[in-house]
Amino acid sequence: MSKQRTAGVFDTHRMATDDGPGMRTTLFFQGCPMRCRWCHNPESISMASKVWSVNTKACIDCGECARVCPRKAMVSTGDGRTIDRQSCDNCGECAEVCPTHHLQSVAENWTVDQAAKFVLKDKPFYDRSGGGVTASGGEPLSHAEFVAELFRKLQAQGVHTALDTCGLCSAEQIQSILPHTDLILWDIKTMNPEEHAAFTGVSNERILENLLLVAEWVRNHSETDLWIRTPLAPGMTATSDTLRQIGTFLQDHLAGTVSRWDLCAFNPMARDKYKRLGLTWELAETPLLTKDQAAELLRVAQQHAPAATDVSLGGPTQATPLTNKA
Amino acid sequence: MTQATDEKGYAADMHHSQFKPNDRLKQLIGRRDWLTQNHKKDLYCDNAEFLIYHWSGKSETFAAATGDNAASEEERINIGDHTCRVDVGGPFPYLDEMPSKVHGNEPTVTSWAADYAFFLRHSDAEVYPHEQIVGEFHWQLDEARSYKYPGSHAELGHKARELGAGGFSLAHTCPDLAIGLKLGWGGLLDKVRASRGKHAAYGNAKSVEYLDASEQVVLSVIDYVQRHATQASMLATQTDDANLKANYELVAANCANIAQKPPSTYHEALQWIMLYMIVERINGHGNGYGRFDQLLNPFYQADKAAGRIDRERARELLAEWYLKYGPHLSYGGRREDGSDATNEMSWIGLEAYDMVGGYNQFGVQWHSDMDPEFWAYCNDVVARHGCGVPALLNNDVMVGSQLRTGFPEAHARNTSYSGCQWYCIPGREYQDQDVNCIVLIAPMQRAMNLAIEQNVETWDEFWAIYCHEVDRTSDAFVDFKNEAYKYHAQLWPEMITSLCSHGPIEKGRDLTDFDSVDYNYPSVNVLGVPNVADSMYAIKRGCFDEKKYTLQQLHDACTSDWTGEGEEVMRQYFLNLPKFGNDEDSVDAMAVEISEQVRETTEAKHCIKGGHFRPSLFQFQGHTVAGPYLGATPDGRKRAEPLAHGMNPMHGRNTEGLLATANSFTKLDFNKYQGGSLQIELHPSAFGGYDSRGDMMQQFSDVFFAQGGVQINLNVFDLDELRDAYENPEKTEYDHIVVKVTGYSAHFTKMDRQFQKEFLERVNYTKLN
Repeated sequence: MSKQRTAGVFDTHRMATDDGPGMRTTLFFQGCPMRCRWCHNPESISMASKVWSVNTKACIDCGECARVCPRKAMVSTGDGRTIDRQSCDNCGECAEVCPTHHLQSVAENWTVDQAAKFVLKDKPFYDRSGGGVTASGGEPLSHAEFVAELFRKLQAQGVHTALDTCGLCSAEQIQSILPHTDLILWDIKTMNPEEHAAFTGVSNERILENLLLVAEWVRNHSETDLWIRTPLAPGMTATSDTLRQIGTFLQDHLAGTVSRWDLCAFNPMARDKYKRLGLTWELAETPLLTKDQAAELLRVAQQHAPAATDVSLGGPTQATPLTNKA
Repeated sequence: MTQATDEKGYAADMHHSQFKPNDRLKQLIGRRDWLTQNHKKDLYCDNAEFLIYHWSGKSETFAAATGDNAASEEERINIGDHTCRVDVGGPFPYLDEMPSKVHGNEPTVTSWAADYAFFLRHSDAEVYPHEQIVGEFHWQLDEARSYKYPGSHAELGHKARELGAGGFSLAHTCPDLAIGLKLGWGGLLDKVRASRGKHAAYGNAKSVEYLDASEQVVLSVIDYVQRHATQASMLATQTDDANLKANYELVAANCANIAQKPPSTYHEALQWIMLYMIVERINGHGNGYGRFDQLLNPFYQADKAAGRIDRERARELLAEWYLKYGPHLSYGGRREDGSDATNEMSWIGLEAYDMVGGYNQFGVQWHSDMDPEFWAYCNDVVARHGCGVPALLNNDVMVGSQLRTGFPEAHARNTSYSGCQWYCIPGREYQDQDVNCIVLIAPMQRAMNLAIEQNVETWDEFWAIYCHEVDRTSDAFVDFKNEAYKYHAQLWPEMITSLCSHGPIEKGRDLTDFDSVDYNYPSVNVLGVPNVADSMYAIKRGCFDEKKYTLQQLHDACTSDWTGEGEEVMRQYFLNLPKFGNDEDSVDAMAVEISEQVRETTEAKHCIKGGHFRPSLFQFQGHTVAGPYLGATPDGRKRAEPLAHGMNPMHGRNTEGLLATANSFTKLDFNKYQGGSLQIELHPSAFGGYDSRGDMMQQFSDVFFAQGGVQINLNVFDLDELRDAYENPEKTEYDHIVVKVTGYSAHFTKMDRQFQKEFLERVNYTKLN
């Protein structure tokens, strides 16, 4: 028997209600070709999994990590240990011995069977709620063959499959996965190629070409659904111009294929992750959009989107900071 | 009494109900809120040990608020606004004239009934402005009559305590109100007298004595109901306000009609039940009140057909009833033939709550053939209001566990949710539901000590010792309970409940006596099952399979609360082994084995009233205070931490989310237990992309019940708000927050602070990014 294909999975979320319809299990895959300045999952960007602390407060300063570290990278902070990123080569020895398990490899390598088994645990809930599995990341197409195989297996078991992608991949990769995908969640961050390069490190030409391929597929396969997602990053993509241009593009090129367009309001809650990776984040102190700003962006998007596209706004704003008395 | 008159948000507005209270109801809501906010409805118990073992060694039940049986103010614990009694301060005014004080206290039904009748005849009939349903009381009989078992009982109680068990016997059953609604107080009196005549002819002096006592009790109730009519008539003559006058006259007419005769309208039926509940709760703690939609629908339909009432008016009256007190009762379920029992009253029951919200205890009994629209509305109500009302129950599992115990189908099908996690066949059971307890930590700790002494080297040997110790605890528990059963019916009979039960009046034997009602299979709550499951799994892995630490090392670490040299590293090892509630088969299998073992052990033991014991995977609030009494445990728990709540995973150990916990839960077969609720605390953001919270809730509950779950208590709240309320007790803006604490609701800010703290530590199944 040939060795099973594996992929790095850095997080899972069961009963996810924001990544497609119904209750879903979202698998987050390691590795991303883009470098979005607002990225919420900085630990997932590099293909090689790093070692980090999932909860620095959990450290009991027992010194086990320092004892085994071959590069003397576990340095004392006074009330615990932290990783000296200059010395660390992510060998993972420390995570092996950490008694509190707060030191961990960002990602675990999963086989397709392992991933399928995990997803199937909640199958009755998908069946009842119209949910299923969502492959997210990182960038799931960093593991296109793995995801295609996983989706094929899960679809055969009656699980609804959703691909949450940035769209930066080869045409072959996206085409290979479409037959096994029920819903595509496709990011359009901005229409402007220079801005796109400035915000994400890459141009958007390939992404938009791929999107047209996807739209073509959706036109010919009415069972496949396409949602567009746009992150509303303050000072970058959260502008009326951006949304007007995306809306116009959807109207001109994708009418009839996009059933929903989600605007995702930025929040800075990933700041602790950057800190734990020893990185600085330019958006760490960025305030939430105000309720009025968000409402105006929603209005612009609704005005320009195709009539059949349902536009919705998610995420916190300043007037409704993650609480809801209703 | 002062009333809250300030303009404020009503539950109907805050929770987007389409049913709004009218001005009269708003007045009554104001009074309800004032009473809770001023601690007029609080229930107390003696001390922490009462919560852990359900027996304090001091009083024989919950602490009396005043009088000889009262607990000390320093020690007593406030369980929350959980009582029907309205506190007006001070002891019962006629305390010194109680017959038992004047003539001596005898442990007999005659002495008890003389006290009861005197007590009720000296309880005022109270009628408040704007009310159309009346009844309120301020003292319970145990505040005026001594309640103490003989010393032999306490002796066995302390032995049981030492081995980790306890319990009391009082109420916690469900009368069949259909009996009283059909006969009325006059009809019940006739029934008592007819039965007395029969037993006199048989020469059965014991039953004659009981029925004579019962007659005195019923006569005092008729007088009490009649006095409400007199009081309302008097108030009607004293007011010039036309609305108030009309209210008083309506109350007077209703009470006069039902003093002897059975109720003939829906409104009279609600009034009858309210006064029944009061005269019953006056003798101690409460009961469940059965299937309200089945009881009330005939009255409602007859009134509607006669043009006397419409749905809006029926809703208003039931809402008023809830505002006075919202006890455990049920809607839904199946008819005797198995078909869906949902009717128009089921809807009205939910709508009335939707209108007034807040504190209430009722549940809805789902089954696979339930009217889907009604079920959707139930989920919508609990998800919008977010405070555990209604509790969602699986009728088919409840009935299944009754059938498995051996009750015939015709009776079992009528099972009604009646208390926190328990259920009951109205009028046919007396089973101590929710008032007995086995603390499973204790036999495990003894097993560790013995295994060390005996140099045990294998898990199988260790397991055998554990099983033996669970058996010893169970034996001590059974001896203690049986001693109580010898005296209970004479010491503290439950005569009002007996009137609405099948058997007691016919036989002239109190409900609490031998050979009275059909079923006596005492229930026993098991405290700490998830902690023991996690601990036993940890012992098996760490001390036997991997041999990472010895039992002696583990024992020493628990004794020193993991403070010794290297013990924190050791604790982290045990703490980070798999834990129940994460859908991990290895440790979940241990939870099943632990539950099955204690079930088989207790089911193999019989009480002297006939039936075997039935375990419940639940325990009422003992988990909040038990930590320091029981010490650290091998699951990595520190001494000061609470225990797990019921069968719910230990605080903070379920890291995989709600569905994983639900899957772990349903690996247990709840047909075999008497209840085991899943407690869910959700942050509003958990509803994510859903437009309707009810939709998501229903999807969850449908699957959970299809897989065999038995009960869901759902709270929706913002943890930060509750933390703020806890940290700033002086803030009144959180006074409206009601939470489903275990199987009961209470206002968060009115609970004991230790309860508040424990509640905050529970996992919020949330998602914030």
